[in-house]
Parts: sequence; C-alpha cells; structure tokens
Amino acid sequence: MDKNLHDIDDFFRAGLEGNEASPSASVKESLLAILDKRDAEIYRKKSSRWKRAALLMLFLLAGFIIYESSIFKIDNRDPGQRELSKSTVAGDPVGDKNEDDATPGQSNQDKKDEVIQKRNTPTFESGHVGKEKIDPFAEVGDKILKGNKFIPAKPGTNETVAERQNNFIAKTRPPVLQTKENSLPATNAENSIPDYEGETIGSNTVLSNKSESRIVAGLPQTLFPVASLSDKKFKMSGYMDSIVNSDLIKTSFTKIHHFKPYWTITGLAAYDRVNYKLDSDMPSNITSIGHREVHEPSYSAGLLATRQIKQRWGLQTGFIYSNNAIGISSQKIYALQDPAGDIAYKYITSSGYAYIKPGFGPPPAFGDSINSTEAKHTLHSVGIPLIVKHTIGKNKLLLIPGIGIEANFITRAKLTTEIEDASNRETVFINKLNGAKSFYWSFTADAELKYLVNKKIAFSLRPVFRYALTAITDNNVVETFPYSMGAGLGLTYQF
Amino acid sequence: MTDLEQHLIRGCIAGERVFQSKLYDHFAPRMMGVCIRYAKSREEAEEILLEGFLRVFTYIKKFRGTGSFEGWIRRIMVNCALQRYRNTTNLYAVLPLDAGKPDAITHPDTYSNLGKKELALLVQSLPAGYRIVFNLYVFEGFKHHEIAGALSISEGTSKSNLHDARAILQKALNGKKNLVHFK
Repeated sequence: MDKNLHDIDDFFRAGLEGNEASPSASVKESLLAILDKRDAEIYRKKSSRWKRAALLMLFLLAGFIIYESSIFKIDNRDPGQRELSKSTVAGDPVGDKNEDDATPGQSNQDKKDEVIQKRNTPTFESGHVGKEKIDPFAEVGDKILKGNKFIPAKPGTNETVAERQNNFIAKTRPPVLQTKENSLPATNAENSIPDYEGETIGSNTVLSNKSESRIVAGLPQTLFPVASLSDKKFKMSGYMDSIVNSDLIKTSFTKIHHFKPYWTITGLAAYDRVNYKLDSDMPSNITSIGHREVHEPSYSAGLLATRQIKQRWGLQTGFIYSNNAIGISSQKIYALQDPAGDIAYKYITSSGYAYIKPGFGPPPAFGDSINSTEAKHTLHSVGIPLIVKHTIGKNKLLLIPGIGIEANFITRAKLTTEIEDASNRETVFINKLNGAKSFYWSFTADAELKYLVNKKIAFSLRPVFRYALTAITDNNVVETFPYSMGAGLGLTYQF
Repeated sequence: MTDLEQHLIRGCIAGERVFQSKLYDHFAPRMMGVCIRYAKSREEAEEILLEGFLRVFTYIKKFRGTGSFEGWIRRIMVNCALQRYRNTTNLYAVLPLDAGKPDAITHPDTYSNLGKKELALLVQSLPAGYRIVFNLYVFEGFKHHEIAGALSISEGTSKSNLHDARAILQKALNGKKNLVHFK
C-alpha cells in the first residue's frame, strides 16, 4: 500500500511540476491598478513630508533671523527711561536748549517737570532706542572731550575747568530725579544739596554726597541724575573731577561698540573632488556601478552674499554653479522596453539611465545586448546655500567657519559614449537622464580663512565639504548621495 | 539568475511599471500553475496570484540575488496560499473516508493519458487541509515537522492529512467513489 501511495506522490509531482496556466487579463489589470494607487499614495506621503520639513526649516530660519536682528529687539526699560534715551539721542536733553520749543503758555520749568514726572525710576541706563545703542557718555565725549581735554572756557567767564565740566554735564546729562514736588528725600535748605547719604539710587549707593564721597559701584551715571535741573542745586564739582578723569569713564568709552549690520559679497572659484555614496538593496548594483564609474576633477564657482548680523555672526547665501565630471568604463548594455513601449538599449549610470537606439543594424529585440565604450558623464548643478557663519579672530586674519544647508538644482546631465557591434560604431550624446531628480538637499560646512587687505577688500581660502541629504536619483537601480571636498579662493567686498 | 532577470529585477526595484509588467508576463503562467494547486478554484488561484505579485513588487528589494529568483517568487506564492488558508479554514478532515485501505493504483502509466489540467483538478478537489499538506509535502518538499510548524498543527495531523489526501487521490484515480469535481 505504501508503495502505491508514494507512487501517487511521484505521479502527481511528475504530472504537475512546471504546470503553467494563463491567468485572466483582469488579474494583470488589477495588479497594475493597485500598484498605481500605491505609488500615488507613497508620492503623496513623500510630498507631504517634504512640505512639512520645508515649513519647519522656514520657521526655524525666520526665528533665527528675528532673534538675531536688533530691529525687533524688545526694549525692556520703562517708558520714562525710553523717553529719556530718545531725548538724549536727539541731543536734546530736557534742559535749557528746549526753551524755544516750549509750547505757548508753558514755561520751560513746567515742561521739564512734565517730562520728568513721567519717569518712574531715578536711574539712567544706557540702552537701545530703535536700532542704536545709546551711551550718554559717548555723546559727552564727542562734544566736549578731545584727547581727554575739555573745550576752552567761554570768553568773559571765570569758570574753572571743573565748573565748566560740571555745567556741561549737568546740561547735557539728562536728569532723572524729581523736582521739588516729587518724593525725593528732603533737601538740605542750607546748601541746597539733597541728603542722599545711604540712599540707594538705582543699583548704586551714595555713601555721602556732601563731602569727599565715593561711589560704591557702577558707573558715575548714577550720580548725574541726582542733580536737580531747575536750580542745579547739586554740588558735583568734587565728584566730577575724579569721575571724569577716572578709569570708569575711560572704560565706558572703550567698551561700547556701535555695530551696524552690513553686507559682503564674495566671488569664489573652487576645485572639487566629488564622490558618492550608493545605496541599493542589491549589492551587485552598487558594486558594478562603483567599479564602472570614476570621478574626475570637478570645479565650482559662485557668488555669495553675507549679511553680518552681529559682530561675530552672519548669514550667507548666494549661488554656486558646480560641474561634476564622471568617467565611465566600457560595458555591455541590454535591450529593454522603454517607457514609450519601444525596445532600446538601457544605459545605466549612478545618476540615472537613458535608452539608446543605435542608428545601425536591425532594431534590437528584448534582451539583446551591445557594447558601449568609455563614456564621459557630466552633471551641472546650481546650489543655493544658507549658511550660518561665525567669525573668529580680531585682526587681519579671520577664521570664519560655517554650517548650513544647500538647495541644489541639477540643471543638466550630459553623457557621451560610443556603442559598437562587430561591424559598426556610433557616437551617442545623451542630454537627459531618466531616473534623475532635478532637486536635492545637501549639508554644507566650510571654514573660510579670510585676510583683510583693507576695510573693504579681503581674500579668502575656503575649504568646503558638502554631503547630499537626499538622493539625486529617483527610480534608478541605486540611490546616489554625492559628497564633495573642495578648496576655493574668494575675493570679498564689504559694503 | 539570467541577465534578463537581473534587468527585470533592477527595473522593478526602481518601481518602473514597464519592468513590473514584464516580470509579471514572464512568471505569471508558472506561478498560476502553482496557485491552482493550492486553491479550490481558478478564481481563488487568481486572487492568490494577485496578492503574491503585489508582495513580490513590494519586497523585491529584499531579494539578495543569491538563489533562484523563480524559486523566491514561488515561495511567496506558497506563503500567500498558506496565509489565505490560515485565515479561512482549519485543517481537519471534512470528507468521510472508507475505513478500509485504499485501492491499489495499478501503475501510473495507466493514467498517463490524464492531462495536467485533470491532475490539477484532482488536487483541487481535495479538502482544503489535505490539499495544503499534500502540496507542501509533495511539491515543496516540506517535512512533516515543517508542515506542522507552518500550519500550526501537530506532526501527527500532518501525517494523517497526507495519508488521507493520498487515499482520496488514489480512489479518484481508480475511478472509485468519493471523487469530487470542481469546475
């Protein structure tokens, strides 16, 4: 019985092994329809992903620009301080100069009191008004100090240097403290000097303002507001000599920088060594293409604009044209059906493929092969980088490293080769590759070494590294991620 | 693996519809022959074939190229059939069998005039559980413990199902009773 049963196994195996049956046409139609639908879904998801990434990048970039830009910087001071600073900027401290501008029926003293009453704190701080950083001392220095010397006394006056100094500062230095009506400590009626001993004004403490006093902390600006505007009762001469000539004032002159954002334009040309990372689920594809293709020296050139937002930080953009050359060794190519339905030889490269129809011999049949000779393949692309730059160094030699992303547009993919059979040979020019994307993202990092010839012109040496974040191929046998190392020379002009 | 198959695979990995169509045209008849053995009808076989090719195009990137490509596709088809079977039926005998031993087959040559289509119909006529076990054992070369693992049954059940399948087929071949035809 067993033997018979096993005979049945052999009988059916022999009878049905290799059995073929034609499925109905509807199966293929259904299959292709499902594949189309699935591809559409994948494309939609991919597109949506890129849109989200682009939006995120946009928001990050906008946030960075807003953060770095002083245009939108919030003035945290109270309104009184802001008004005070404005009047200082205009060279119009509330004082005698404004007498002519007073509205009819309003005395100068009234005007001063009105403005002063708006102030909430008895301190004066340098700060920002609009784009400009204001320092009251700088203004004083510009007007009356030149090489630490005061301007000469007015003819016919007997003012001492100290008195002139005090008077000038009292006029130009905006008052902060109150008038008589306000709640300042009671003034000393005898010498009209308010008794601020032990009072805290702003962040500083006046130990005594009647004799040889000292300011414990902070710049002497704290002391100026103590002066009363209307009667100049505050006696400051004793302090001012020491203050104006002190290191504190000198420090305040040297420490303040008025940085203004500016643009620079850099023209550059670079020699690049390009290579790529291939990705495929079939290692044989990677191996065969990798062995077949050799990257040749390439070059890039471009124009970059840098916006120096801060003294050390800048944003760089522009465009860079790249020409990448690839040599391809000879190979055998096979005939397949092209998207138009014709049979043609398929030429596959790392950046795409093309169908070749030779002008000689009979039309190829599916699966036919032909030899191609060595080929020259060039990829032309334009990159638009967005790079954050950081400046290191102070003198003529600066190191400016930067990192960022680059949007790359492949403008042209050209391939030149020859195909040959036993008796014919033909040169083939391919100007468009299938399976190649026209756009890809890349990461870019550079370390610019800049030599400042003068304030406007600089030369730079710019090593740069780029790595593709997205593949340059689509629907090709491999996914190709190019990367390059380059060394460029640049000429920079500052506006 | 032939050069043609390599090119077809590359094209399918790239997602090119032309290559997918060519691959289907190239392997569909053979795979349909496999699916028919696992299905109870032609319609069911076509459903298995469709599902199988969808899996082929989805997972073709995972084909390492080390073995036979046709064997890889065939394995996918068999897995689809098993999956379908697991989702719809169980593996217990559904047909009454004669208690006695099956009639002996005189000689396979006696039935040499039977065509592949008739043989396929005989296999299709088996109850689902018997059919699956018979196919796995006879055509795919599975051992009983492998069948048991694939179908989540015991080895004893697998042996029993195979024995019963053989008995039914033997009877059918001998033109005896309990032959079921599905057209």
